[in-house]
Amino acid sequence: MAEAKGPQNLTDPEVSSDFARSKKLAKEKGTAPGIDPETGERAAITYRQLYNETEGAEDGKVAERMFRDIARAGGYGDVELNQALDLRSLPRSVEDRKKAMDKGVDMKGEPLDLYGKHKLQQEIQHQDNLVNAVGEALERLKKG
Amino acid sequence: MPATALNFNAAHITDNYGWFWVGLAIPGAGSRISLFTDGSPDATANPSAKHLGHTTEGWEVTANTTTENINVDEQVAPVDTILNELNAALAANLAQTQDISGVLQHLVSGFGTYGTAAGYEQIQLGVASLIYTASALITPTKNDITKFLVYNLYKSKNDSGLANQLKRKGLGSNPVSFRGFAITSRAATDSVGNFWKQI
Repeated sequence: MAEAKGPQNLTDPEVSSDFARSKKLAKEKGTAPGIDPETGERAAITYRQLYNETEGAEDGKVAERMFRDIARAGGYGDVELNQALDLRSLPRSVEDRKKAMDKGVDMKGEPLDLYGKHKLQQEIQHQDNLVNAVGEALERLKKG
Repeated sequence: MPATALNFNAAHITDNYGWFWVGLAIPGAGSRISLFTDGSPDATANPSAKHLGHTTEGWEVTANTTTENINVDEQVAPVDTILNELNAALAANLAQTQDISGVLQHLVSGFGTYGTAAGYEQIQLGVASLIYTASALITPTKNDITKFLVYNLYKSKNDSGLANQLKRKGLGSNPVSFRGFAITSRAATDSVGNFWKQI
């Protein structure tokens, strides 16, 4: 039987959790914060990381513009520069809605009628647009 | 005629503690924070997450609004109401009050600056920048401990400051209350936080 996971079995989540193991792996591999140590995928973005990547161009203004650009593209809002953006959350929100559509329910778990179906389709499209907008902003970042 | 089903369900009663994290990443529009399957934050998506340790009596989650009723002379009851404020907070008494780097430095937004070097760590007191942090309380559901309840505030700060007790009898603790603030330009229905459950 698989060992039950969760807080009840972990006295210190900074030592014995998946979080701790992933942190350790990132340290061993020397990957930058926000970069997946196993796949190399960018999972989070921070102003500080962008500052480093742009070598502090224009006293950090380039990094700030990029950070704001990504935050607005993904609907994160005007977040503080010390906060990180969870890039993995957006594609998952599309998948969640597609799964609901496949099950024939809306995001409140109610059966889909025509109105609900069209509304959910619009939501999927909207979330997909956000994913693409963030992707494009990240592409611009890659190109410098 | 069938009776309406009752909703007595012991599986939905809370009987466990949760982990409280600060320094989390903010989820995108219409999304939720990324977690590992054990309920801890995805370390890559939340590179700055910190756990604030033990509490004396667990955490309390509050979210409520204040309203102002509109009365007119012609009616005896209010005819409408205006929403004034949304107050959301995660509060506890933290027990690890000697942990300056891991706990206390996250409680001093606006008046404390953390620093460390060989042989010491410190919090200098004075006027400092207001630092907001995304925070979350995460606890397993009673019915399925591989699923989690998450109380996530996107932009929060401790409103209770430092109030350490030092004593021989009983447990010294520091009361904290992480209050939720709105992120401007985020969707109005999702500007403060998200309380959600995996199913």
